[in-house]
Amino acid sequence: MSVTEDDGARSSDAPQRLYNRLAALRADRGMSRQALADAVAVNYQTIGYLERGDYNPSLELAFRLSEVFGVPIEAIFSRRPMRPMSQELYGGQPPAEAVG
Amino acid sequence: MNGVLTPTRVVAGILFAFMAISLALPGSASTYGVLAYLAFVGITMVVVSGIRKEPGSWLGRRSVRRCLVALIVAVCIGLIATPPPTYNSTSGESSTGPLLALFMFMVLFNIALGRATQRVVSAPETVVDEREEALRNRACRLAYVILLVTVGGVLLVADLAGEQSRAWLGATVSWSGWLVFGELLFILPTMVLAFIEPDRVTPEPGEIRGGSTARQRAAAALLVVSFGIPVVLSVALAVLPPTVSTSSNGSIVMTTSASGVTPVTDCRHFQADVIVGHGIQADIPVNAMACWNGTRAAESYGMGKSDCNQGDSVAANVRTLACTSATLPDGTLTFRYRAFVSSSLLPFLGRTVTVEVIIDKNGHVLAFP
Amino acid sequence: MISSSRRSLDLAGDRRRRRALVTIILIATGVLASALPPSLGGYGIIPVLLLTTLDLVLIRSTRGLAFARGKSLDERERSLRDHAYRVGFRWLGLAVAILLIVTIVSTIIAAWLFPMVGAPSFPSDLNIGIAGRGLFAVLEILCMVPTMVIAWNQPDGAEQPDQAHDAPRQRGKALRLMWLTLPLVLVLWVLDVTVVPVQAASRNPNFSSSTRQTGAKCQDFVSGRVVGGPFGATVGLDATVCWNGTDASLVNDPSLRICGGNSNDDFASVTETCTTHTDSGGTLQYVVQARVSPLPFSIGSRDVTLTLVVSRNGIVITQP
Repeated sequence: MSVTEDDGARSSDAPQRLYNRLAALRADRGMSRQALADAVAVNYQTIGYLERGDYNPSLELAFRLSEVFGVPIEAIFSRRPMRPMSQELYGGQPPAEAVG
Repeated sequence: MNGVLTPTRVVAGILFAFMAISLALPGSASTYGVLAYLAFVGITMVVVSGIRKEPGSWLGRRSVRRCLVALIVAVCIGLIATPPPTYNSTSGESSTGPLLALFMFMVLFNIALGRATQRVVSAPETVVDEREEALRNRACRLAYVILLVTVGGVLLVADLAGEQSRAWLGATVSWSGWLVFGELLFILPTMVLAFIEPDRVTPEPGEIRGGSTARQRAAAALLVVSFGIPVVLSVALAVLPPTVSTSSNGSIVMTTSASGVTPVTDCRHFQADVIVGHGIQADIPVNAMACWNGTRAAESYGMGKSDCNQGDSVAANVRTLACTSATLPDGTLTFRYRAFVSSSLLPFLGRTVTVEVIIDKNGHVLAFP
Repeated sequence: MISSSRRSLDLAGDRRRRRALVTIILIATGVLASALPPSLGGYGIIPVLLLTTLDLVLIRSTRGLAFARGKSLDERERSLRDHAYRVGFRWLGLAVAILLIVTIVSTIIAAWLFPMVGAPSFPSDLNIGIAGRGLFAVLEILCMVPTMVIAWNQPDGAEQPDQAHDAPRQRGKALRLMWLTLPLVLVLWVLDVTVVPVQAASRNPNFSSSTRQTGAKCQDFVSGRVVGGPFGATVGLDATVCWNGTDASLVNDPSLRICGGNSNDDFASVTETCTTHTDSGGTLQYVVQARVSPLPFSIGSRDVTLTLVVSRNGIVITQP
């Protein structure tokens, strides 16, 4: 968790983990990690680290990802656990319980 | 500095120039050979350093990388703890210890570590992405702090503590300490990066670009040759017979008396170099004079029990087995030096060499290399 | 408002002045590591304090970024700091190599210019380890290179004077406390020279003197005492004694011109007196008496005595 104190101390030594939908967006478009990496000019390992949450992208990389997927940055990354996209898009109604 | 002349390359160049000068100064064929080999190794390192190949699933694991780092640390400690090469002028024995073997292990582990980290630390900025850039910057910062604490701390404490620590510092700084300092200077950031980087992502099918480039194949060939040369030369030392480079047993008339022989009629001067091995080699010189008067032969110099010496050696150990000098009842003078010569790399593999000089009471040379 | 004295020390917004300061520090470090002059005459602590002061000014101009902990930095500062360390690591090897070349070349020049004094910054006949000025130069380079990189590369106007004190309270406090380093260095040095026990120093096996002839009836004696480690002084004894069964005599320096050879007085002044006396039995007594003073007027001084006694038959009765 990043901490902002009155004396102006900035974030803690370890950056806060960002949640993301990269794997889902990539699967939706049938893109491999390598293809996405080539599209945003990074190593495919970096895509893997992003998806695992082991690395937080720079603003520039986030914008490039946003352009590739055609969705805003906040649809890709979040500081809080992300709800399924279907809930985001269709009002967040929980799925109906199975009958029988 | 421009992109070609980086500080690292300048330092490597200075180190190589220093080694070249110190090896070229003696001017012998063996030191030129070592110089040529080191130049070949330098070219190999340049070719290898530019290759960024995927480490594979095994080397990509952090636990494996950390083991590699531990091995390199162990080799560095071994180098610091190993005493410098010794030569005992009384017994004629010399030993370089496990230095060569440790050095080769260090090079091997460095290459493996470079492959495991895809040589991110030394890659140009145009080929690394932001994550790799941030990771290597962080690794360099941690490596710098480690270097400051270890090198600076060791220097300060050893220099302040007492006479024994200062003596240790003097011996280390003059030899293996520089080797380890060079290792830390060039490899420590890679070691830190290998230690801190999480497990690499398992590549999906199609993510690893198959096949190898011409540069990769050339690098593999150069590596095989670089490592193979010392091994082949070590085996050659044990297998091939010794060669005698110079030999003379001229006859000289002396007017002054030699030890134990009066009156003196003739003397002979013996000079030879028995060379065991090629490249990795030991030189056993003979430089002696013997005189005779028809009753007995006697040594003028160079054939006594303290004259079993060795000359220049390159990465070879010489262990004296026997050094005898005797005059037989019939007046024949015998001098025999038997030694076991082995390579520092493969100390268990060597050969026994016997150098004999035998001259009878009438000046006939019965044995000479 | 910032006072004018603070403003003159504040180089945060002036890259040219910061670069000039980096250059001065590097040159001063090189001069300190060199063997010229061969002796600092006991005033070695002055260049050390001056260099430390310049370091502190440089650290202040970069807001101590190189030494700041991650918790007090934002992502931009962390990135800048880490990048400086990477650049610094690459330049560190070159800096050490240049320092070594300067030391070797200056030692050769010093030996040529001052043959009797020698080159104390390079290992001498005595095993005294690394000379204090050389050790300080190495530590200076190790500690300050990242700060120099930041100071050199930071653009003009990065921090305006009126924003200079917006640094987090923790860092601001640390930056103010760092000026205590100067008196701390001074106190540690005085304690080192006046309190730390005197240590023995024997012949350096890597640099044994071979110019003097020693036959079956002569022997070299090289020994010394180290007062205050590398940041103090060394008192040396260097004598060749020969004997002939009638008496023993000093042969390498019969007029005592090189009294106490191998002495080193970079950080504390050394006043030596050598006396030689052969008694009626032919026994030679050679005594080196020295006073090591870190401060003027012999304040905190310590007396060291080295005694060598050799009989007419070559029996060493006392040796330091």
